[in-house]
Amino acid sequence: MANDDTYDMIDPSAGLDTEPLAAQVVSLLSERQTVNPAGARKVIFDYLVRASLSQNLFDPVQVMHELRGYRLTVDAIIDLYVPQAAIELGQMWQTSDIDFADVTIGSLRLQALLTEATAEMPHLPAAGIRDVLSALMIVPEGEQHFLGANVVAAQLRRLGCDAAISFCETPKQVLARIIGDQPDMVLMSCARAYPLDAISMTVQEIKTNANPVPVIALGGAIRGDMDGIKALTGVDLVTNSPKDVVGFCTKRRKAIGRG
Amino acid sequence: MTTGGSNFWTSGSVPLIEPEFLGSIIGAASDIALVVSAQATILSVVINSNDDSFGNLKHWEGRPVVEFLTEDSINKFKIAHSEYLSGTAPRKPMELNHSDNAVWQYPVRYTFHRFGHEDAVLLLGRDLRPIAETQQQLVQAQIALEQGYEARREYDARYRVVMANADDAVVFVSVQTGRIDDANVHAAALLGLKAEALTGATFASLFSDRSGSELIESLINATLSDDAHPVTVRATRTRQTLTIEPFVFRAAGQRVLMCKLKNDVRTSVAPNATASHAAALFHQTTDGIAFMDTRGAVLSVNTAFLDLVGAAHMSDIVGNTLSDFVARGQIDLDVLLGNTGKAGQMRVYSTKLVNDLGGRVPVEVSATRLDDPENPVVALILRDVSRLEGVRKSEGANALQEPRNNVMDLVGSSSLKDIVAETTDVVEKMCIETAVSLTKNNRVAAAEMLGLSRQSLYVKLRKYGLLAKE
Repeated sequence: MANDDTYDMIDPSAGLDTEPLAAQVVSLLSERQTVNPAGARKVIFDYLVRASLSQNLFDPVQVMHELRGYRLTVDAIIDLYVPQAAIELGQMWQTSDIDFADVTIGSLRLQALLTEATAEMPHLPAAGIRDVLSALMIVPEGEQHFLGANVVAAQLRRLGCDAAISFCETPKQVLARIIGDQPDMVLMSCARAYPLDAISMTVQEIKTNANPVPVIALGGAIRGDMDGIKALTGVDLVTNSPKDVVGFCTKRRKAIGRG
Repeated sequence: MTTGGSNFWTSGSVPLIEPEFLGSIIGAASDIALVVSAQATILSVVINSNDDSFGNLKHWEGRPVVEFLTEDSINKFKIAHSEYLSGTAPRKPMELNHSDNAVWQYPVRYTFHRFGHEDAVLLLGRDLRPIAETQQQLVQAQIALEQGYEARREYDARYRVVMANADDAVVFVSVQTGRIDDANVHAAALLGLKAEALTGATFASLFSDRSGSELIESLINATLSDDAHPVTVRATRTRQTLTIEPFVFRAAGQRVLMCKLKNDVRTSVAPNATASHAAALFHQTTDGIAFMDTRGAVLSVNTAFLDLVGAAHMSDIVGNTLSDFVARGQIDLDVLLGNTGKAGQMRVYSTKLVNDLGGRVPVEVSATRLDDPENPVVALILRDVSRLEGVRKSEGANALQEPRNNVMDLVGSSSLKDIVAETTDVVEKMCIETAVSLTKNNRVAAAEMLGLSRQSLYVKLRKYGLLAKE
């Protein structure tokens, strides 16, 4: 064997019992690779949940460094780890392991981390109005959960869209904004059980007054009969995937010759 | 319940609490108390008599508890209640959100207690509304912050549009660090680097005639005096004389210089005729002309070069390495740099220019190293030979007839195996000769060009008797 083969350089007479060490290393490595059903690596996920519930100071820059230390991409942090950690906080409240104040503070910390992660995303070149799809995310008035809307907005930006968020504006303000800015898509975020007839009314208002009429999508904590909800509210699609909305919008633009 | 191990409550020293007092004691000890049956129906609601903020909840009695819980609390209660009925009362306090006719909501932290009434449960609750109010304020503050981020995003977009579309070459420099905060593509083209590479670079390092502190000082001085002239500098990479018009402002307390760069036409146009003719030739010739540094980064190119590589703007080329635009990439670049480094110049070198769309234009390149000990530059003249190739091909068409006849002679003279082996040798020898010639006998570059190890190339050179050329 060649002299530069490093395995040949281990002196077997040194008395080092390497097998247990190797087994330990392998076991540690495999433990670090364990992923939860959503695809998040457990060791990182546990760290993030711990950090968001910690009694100590939460420094999003520091947490971002830690996550990057695990060689996570910004995409993985935004798409997977932040939403999954938020879901975990909700489940911990359900099992009475944490109280709602912990959930709120934890969510705000995840929000701060998301802002930090978004800042690391490369800026899109300043594009003309015809070159990019524009999206308006609506967090309805009175809704207090907006982490999901921010995650979707970040994902839309990564898909090359211009995304804006309307936080807790009155239906009148939202409508004026849609008429003025003419977004290609309007995404309504419903994190809680929100009266579907109120959504239906907003959708009708948009469809009657906006020209051109944007693609309207409904997402968030929507459960049950999706087709039924779609028919009832009059939205174009019910989904939590920004890709679906962008795909739908692109197809529609092509169909009407604007793409 | 006992305190400190005392059995005060169970010893009989306290008489049984009379039923008419029990309700008010429970009400005072908790903020709200519910008695819930095994069927999850509310049997009784007890409210602290000193607190009327809950209003009258008498209508809750006799109705299922889930009617007065928000959606997220219903399942939570059901699980805890069924655990209680199976004999394991929840140990941890449980937060539930109440709602009544969807008009109002409030959170209560309950503990479960057995009290000897079949399977009914006593829920003692702590009103969490004061905490919830603080939470609301926190969330509102965060929403205000988020709205601030939204506004900032809009300003940011405006800034980027202005930077991308302004005709001026603009660089933002931090006075404190002397480093570039941001620069647009026009500035990048004048300075001979890509815009991204400029961010974070020390501004003075881009000019050959100023030290860091000296440059910043003269820029600041130029902003202070009324009759100050623009600062004139010489760009290291593009060798152009530039003028800088500085403007100082404060951003978040930090002093920042906005510098408008201009190509100084007065000094750039050389006073003698040869230089002005050379400059005119650079702009008007149909041959591509490019200048690069000794590492291959393109410093400047003429319009003909842009046409050859199909680029729209100078900024698409300047700052990139030449290897991005030639067919053999780094190999071509190494040959050009290697030969100009050794001999000072290289005559006709054939390669192809590639463009973004994958198109290839055959060119002949001549390269010259310009002697400037401080900033050595390699100048390239590239001539499109695609038309010439067509001519050469048609000239060679007659010559090709001859081998066809020769093949007829060949077949039968040797076995097929020998002919094939011979053919391989011939092609190999031709390729090696070409590579050696292209690289001006640079064995390392030739080996790389052929995808051979240096040793293999030597073996083949010896085999084909090409070592004599050394």
